[in-house]
Amino acid sequence: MKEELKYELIESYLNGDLKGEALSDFERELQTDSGLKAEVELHRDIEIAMINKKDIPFIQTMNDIHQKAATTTSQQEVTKMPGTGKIAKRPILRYIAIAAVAAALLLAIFGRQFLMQDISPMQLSENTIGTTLTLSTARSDDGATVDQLLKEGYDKLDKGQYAEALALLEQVKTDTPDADAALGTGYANLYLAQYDKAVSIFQNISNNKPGVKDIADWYLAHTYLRQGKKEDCKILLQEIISSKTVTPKRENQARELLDAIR
Amino acid sequence: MYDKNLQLAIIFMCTNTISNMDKKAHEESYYIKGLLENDRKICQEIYDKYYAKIQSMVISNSGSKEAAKDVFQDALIIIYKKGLKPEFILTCPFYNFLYPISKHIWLKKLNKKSRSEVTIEDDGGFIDEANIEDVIHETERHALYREKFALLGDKCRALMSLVFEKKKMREIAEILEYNNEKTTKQQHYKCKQRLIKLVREDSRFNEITD
Repeated sequence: MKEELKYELIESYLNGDLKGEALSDFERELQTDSGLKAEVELHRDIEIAMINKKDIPFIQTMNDIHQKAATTTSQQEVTKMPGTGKIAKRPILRYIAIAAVAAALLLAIFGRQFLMQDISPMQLSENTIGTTLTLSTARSDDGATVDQLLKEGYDKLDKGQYAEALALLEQVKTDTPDADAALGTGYANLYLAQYDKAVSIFQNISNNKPGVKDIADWYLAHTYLRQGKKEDCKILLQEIISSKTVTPKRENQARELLDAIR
Repeated sequence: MYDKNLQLAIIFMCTNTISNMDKKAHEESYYIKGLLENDRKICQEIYDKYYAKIQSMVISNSGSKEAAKDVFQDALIIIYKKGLKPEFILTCPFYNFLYPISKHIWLKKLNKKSRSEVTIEDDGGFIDEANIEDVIHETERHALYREKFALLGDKCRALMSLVFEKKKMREIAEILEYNNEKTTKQQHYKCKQRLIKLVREDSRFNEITD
């Protein structure tokens, strides 16, 4: 069986889309073909592994139950506590308690900013930008010129040879229907500190390629950050966080960077 | 590091695969169904009956209330994911399944923090024979899949995430702006093939595959 067709059948089977004779045939094959059985189990195992905690319905229910139980317990503890209300009756203790709460609040609000004061936007970007940009899909090794140049260009990006990468990717940026070449040129320009060019490329991708909008926005945010345009950077990070297609990892990265800038 | 074999040896045979389906499902299997169906009444029952016990195990072994909550939740997620497999049958009381999983999770967290071997005294009186090896291997396999998934390109991850969320190919094609459903399917095939290749090439995969 051709592998692509096999994958399609396995997915249809796991999604419950196989019906009638097709289902019977597949199940018969599963009984006799241990390789196929192992393959089906692997596909299902991967699907189950990738379920996010936030998508499991009972989690919210359990959290509600826990919250309710915790509130009830703490109320019972307060009621039982001997001397409850002592703080209110002793002005000095009350002032100390208020001061402690205020100090904690101030630390929570401004502490991170104090800690971040010594970090330059460039450093912050370098610390948070993540791993090197990679090709979104595997490119063929059959020597096709466009694929070959893309692979070489990304290889140069990975090695930090941004000028060489840019030269290679510039050659193919109009020949590929996807955004790999354009993203690569934007990325190279970002690292070459040619920020205006990087901004223009990433904005163009963001406006015209919804499939990679989150990626383009992420690097555009970093370009703004390196330019010192913190407000523009923050707006983009918010957009990434609220994007429907953003991956959990990218969402976390955006949250952390936004938090650090604030 | 704690001795995993020792851990394996003290936990119980609570699940059965399709190969021994002649075993009878335990009467407390309804807890699994309750988790799968997000049945509030059953969730409440699980919480009321077992949360304090798991919390006690964590707190008496250097943990906090907050840590106990995480352990309890993570253990239930493992059970939930196990329950998603049609061949899964609970063959022992629910607690005999929940406790060793919780203990395993907590031991792993403790051993990450500690350089010396950590052990936890067992909750005496309920232990039969031990074997939660498949659950432990499953957890390790799932971590391996997620590790390999993170190595895929951003676009592949976005595409596969939408497929895992059970979005239709037509819808995904629109979101990710592929030309059509067929192209989206082809891209998804390539991404999945890459993921599976990465998983299979990792030497840990064979060690933790049943």
